[in-house]
Amino acid sequence: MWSSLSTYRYSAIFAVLGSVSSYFGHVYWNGSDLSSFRRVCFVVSLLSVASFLFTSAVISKAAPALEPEATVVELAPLSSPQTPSGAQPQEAGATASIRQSRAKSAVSPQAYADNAVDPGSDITRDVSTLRQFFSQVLLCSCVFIVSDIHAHLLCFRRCSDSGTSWFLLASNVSK
Amino acid sequence: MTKFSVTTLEAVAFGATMFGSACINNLFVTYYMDLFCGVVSVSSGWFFVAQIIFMLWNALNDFVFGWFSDKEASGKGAKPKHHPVHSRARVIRNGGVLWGIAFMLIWYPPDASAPDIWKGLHFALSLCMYDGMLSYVEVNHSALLAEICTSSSGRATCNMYVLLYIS
Repeated sequence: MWSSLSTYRYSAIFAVLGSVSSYFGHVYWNGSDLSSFRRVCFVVSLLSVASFLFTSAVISKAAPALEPEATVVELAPLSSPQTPSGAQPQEAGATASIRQSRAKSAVSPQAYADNAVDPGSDITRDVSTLRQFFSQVLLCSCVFIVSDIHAHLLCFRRCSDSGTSWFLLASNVSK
Repeated sequence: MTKFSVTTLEAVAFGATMFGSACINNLFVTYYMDLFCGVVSVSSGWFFVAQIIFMLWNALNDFVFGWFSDKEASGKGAKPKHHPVHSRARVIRNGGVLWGIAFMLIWYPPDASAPDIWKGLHFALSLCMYDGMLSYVEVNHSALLAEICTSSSGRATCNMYVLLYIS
């Protein structure tokens, strides 16, 4: 298992490689002769297909470790002893509906045990996960902002003589 | 046993799809307008027609492909050991190859001297085919996250790789 620092390092390397496609496109773009740009696109396309195949191969290999269907936990009865007898048929229907919806989202007790998770400590776990997640999002946002500013500057420089640049800017922002 | 988290290799592999997506998409969004407006010179009429067709297709294809892939993933008549992950992985593999082909076809437009209708049709079809394959792969890729791990930390790790790759 890689350490956290190493993981970020490898991720950063791949992130840089992914963004480099724009750079090579910029270097080889020539409106009057597209042949060199097509070669770049072909290499980028091969690289992308290789990454799709990599995802597919690894995830398919991992799939046998997953269960086809989740096990449903047994729930305690939901009906209350104080329920008026006249309302019982409706209550029974509502109870069944709630039971069904709870069962859909339930995870087996064995699975909880396997993961050594105490359902009572979910809040602590989720807060630390959220903190970890938002720190990662913050890091990625910085990278996004820099790469998007670069892309917009490129667009304005390339087609500042037409309304196309505004269209491109809008499409990038909406993306 | 239900799998709660993912290994580092699986998280890297999950993010790798977005690496491919970022590689292709960065080039596409930066240069397709240059190509069709600057090099091919599509007429303004055909430009707007193609953009409207693309807009409608873009609005429709997400849920169409989502419905189609869910139906296939939980398909009737599937083998007893069938897991939705297998279907998603197959779609990413096959759709990814088609996406690469669609991406390459964009850069082979008709000559600037060709009739407007050919240029406009190529513009509309290549946009729709590119976006269709993008949706086909990415919808399945998004659905994969819920199916490969059930823990919050595992999903956060996968999302970290996705966010880093797509930048």
